[in-house]
Amino acid sequence: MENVKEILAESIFEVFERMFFIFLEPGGRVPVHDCETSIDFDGPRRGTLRILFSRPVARLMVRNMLGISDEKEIECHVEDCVKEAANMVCGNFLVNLDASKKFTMSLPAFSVKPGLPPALSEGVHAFDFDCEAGKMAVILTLEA
Amino acid sequence: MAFNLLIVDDSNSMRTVVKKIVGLTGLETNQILEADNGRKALDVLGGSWVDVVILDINMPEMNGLELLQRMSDDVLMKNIPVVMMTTDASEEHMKTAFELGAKGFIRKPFVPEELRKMLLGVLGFDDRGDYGKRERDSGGVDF
Repeated sequence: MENVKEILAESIFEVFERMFFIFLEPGGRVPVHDCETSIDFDGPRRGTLRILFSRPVARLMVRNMLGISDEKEIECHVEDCVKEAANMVCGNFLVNLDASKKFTMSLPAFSVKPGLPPALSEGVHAFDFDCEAGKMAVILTLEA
Repeated sequence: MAFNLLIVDDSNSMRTVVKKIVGLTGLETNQILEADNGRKALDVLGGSWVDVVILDINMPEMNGLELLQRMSDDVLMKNIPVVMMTTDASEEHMKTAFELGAKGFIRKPFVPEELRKMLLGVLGFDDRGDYGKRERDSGGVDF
């Protein structure tokens, strides 16, 4: 199980550094975030990956990925951009977990009313991060 | 030589990034066409001249592998070079894509240089952007 967490961490850092130029640091848990994107996957392992963001982090992702500075334009891209982040983190995690196995991923969903992070238990892997713009969290729930 | 590029990805942000990178390659584009799923891409391919396709896999309505299958069955579309650009890079998906005729595979997240090199290779340019590599190399494009 520890291996799963390492693979997930590697996938998160790779996506955020290469695509969004955001360098994440371990952070403290916050009870509520501003928005959430989630993606389900099925195959040899089944589960859900959720990424919870503060709004400033989501805006920074758009700004860095697309190189735009107009706030209205940035806001238009927030949903699409964070959904693509979930898609990339999940896809990379599954390939890094086992590239020889075929997984199917759902289309990412987006919500401005994120659910609460689940209680930590077996099969739940959670990371809390800080970056220059605020806080975010990644939660992977793997079914047994 | 200007070329026409079709970007097929359900993420508007990703299509925007690809367009920006293509602009930075120095390659001369005539048209950059876009579609957010395979079905719309088929419509574009049916009505426009396309020199190269950049194709995601995980999309609504018709995914990238389904589009690739449709293209490989079509006498007019099967020779259009396709570069897969996806997070969904399992060995099975890659094998399927190459069997269906994909010419390259870029895994997201990518750095601009990877996309640039892939496009140059598929279009027959060398690393300096000089045209003619594809004609000179009898073995085709080496990835």
